[in-house]
Amino acid sequence: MNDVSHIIQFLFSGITTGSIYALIAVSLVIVYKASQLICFAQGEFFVFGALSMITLTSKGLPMPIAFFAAVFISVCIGSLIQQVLIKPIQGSSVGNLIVMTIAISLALRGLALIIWGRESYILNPYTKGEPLFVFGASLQIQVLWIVGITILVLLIIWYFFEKTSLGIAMRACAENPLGASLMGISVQKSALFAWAWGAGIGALAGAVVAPLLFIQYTSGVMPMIKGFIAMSIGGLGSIAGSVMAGFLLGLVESYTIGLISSKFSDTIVFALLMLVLIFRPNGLFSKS
Amino acid sequence: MILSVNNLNAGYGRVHVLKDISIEVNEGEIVCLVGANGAGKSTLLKAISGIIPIMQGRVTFRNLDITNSRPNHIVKEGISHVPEGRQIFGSLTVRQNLLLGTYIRKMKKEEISRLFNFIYSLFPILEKRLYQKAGTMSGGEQQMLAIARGLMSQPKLLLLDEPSLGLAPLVVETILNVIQHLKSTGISILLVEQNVNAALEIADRAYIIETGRIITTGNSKELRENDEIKRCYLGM
Ligand SMILES: Nc1ncnc2c1ncn2[C@@H]1O[C@H](COP(=O)(O)OP(=O)(O)O)[C@@H](O)[C@H]1O
Ligand SMILES: [Mg+2]
Repeated sequence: MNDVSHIIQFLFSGITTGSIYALIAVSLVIVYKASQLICFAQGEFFVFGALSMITLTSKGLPMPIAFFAAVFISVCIGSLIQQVLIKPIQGSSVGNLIVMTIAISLALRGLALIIWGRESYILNPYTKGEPLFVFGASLQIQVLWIVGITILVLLIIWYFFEKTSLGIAMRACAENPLGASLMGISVQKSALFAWAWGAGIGALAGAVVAPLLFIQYTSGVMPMIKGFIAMSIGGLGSIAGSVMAGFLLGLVESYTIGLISSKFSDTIVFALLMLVLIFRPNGLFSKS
Repeated sequence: MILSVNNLNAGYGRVHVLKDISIEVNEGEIVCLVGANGAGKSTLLKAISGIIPIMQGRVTFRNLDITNSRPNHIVKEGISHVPEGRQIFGSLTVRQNLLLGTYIRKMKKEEISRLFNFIYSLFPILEKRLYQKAGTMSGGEQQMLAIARGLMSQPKLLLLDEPSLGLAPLVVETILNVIQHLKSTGISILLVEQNVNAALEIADRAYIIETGRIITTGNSKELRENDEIKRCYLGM
């Protein structure tokens, strides 16, 4: 391999992890905008997405059906959690709500331990096929699936929040709940939809990456932290900002690992977060 | 009678703000609600539109009991509340704000475009601002948008909370003219105004509210000649 092929190789792996970070960051932003809270259970939806897809395919379900079923399971769990655990304490302090989402995260992790044990699992690639070679760098077919599905999902999210009346109503709720309820929009329903979206996207991130990573019940922790960092760098409430920050983090990590050392990759990401929080507290990509 | 509020008591949690309020609005009337800051005017509008719970008493709208109904139900029945401080959606465009006004009604395209034309006839500036983010407009334009958005649900009764607050005299005049025009189209209006002089000019009747109670009522002409009103609210 020559230098160019190395650079391209890091680009591919950066885009792959970046896709996952972007998806998790977006799922955090959607919940944050609707409920003004960071859902710390987002990493567990990632795990549930991956592990339920693995279990379903091992039971003989075809890939596409297992994929949608895995996402759907998390959508149901997320909706149920919102209705049973978040809605009753919606009016209480931010502290209470955050403690609640941490508790939910630990409970879901425990549930995953009961269901799947401590083993790590990996899924077969979505489609068979030898890696492609681009300027000497190898590109696994699964990476194309990850990037393709990520782009498709981001487009659907964009369309939903920009073009559909339900999506615009959800944005209105997030921005001004009083104004929205006077339009007859149900703020409660909007929060429910947001949790359903958030859990579904988190699970989808797990399901697409399942053929590339060994995943066990604790594997949601790092993606959750990285997604949260991407969300913070992107300016907390900005979907576009968090997508860009997610890809940026993935690339920074990949090039740090490739060109410097894997020891520094997390350090550099955290340093980047601190710099952004100090110098651009409204987000790296914000206008002000 | 389009709206009748009987012995209404409401507030926030344990804070009891409104005490035995009874008011009426007749079909096609402009009724004004006058009172000092903190008297409970906004709270009364919020209780009528279902934003805060009613502890006691009844609200009837066109012979339908809407006491403690949900806001979406009340909007659907034909009450539109244009709140204090406008509460528009600054990150959305003017057009998106207006369309949200039709959210609970399933309307045909033609009906919506007819409504848009009606809005442009009231506030021509909004047509120019259609694709602008609402938050980037001036205060007066935002107030026009708030009223316009309230009209998009085709209300029979409009609750207006201090629509002229903090606006330049020329804009205030525009808005008061629009309110009068809306009356002529058959919409009944319950208006809260700090600008009591101007409000009594356009209102048919008024209620004076003090610390959560209605203390006086009468038609605008009588009230304008009432010595106490002159002293307390008209600054004479
Ligand atoms: N969200 C709230 N929580 C608790 N008390 C409130 C709230 N909003 C208003 N109040 C109180 O209710 C009273 C009436 O307020 P309001 O209806 O806004 O008055 P007005 O509109 O006449 O100026 C005031 O004493 C105010 O402090
Ligand atoms: Mg008020």
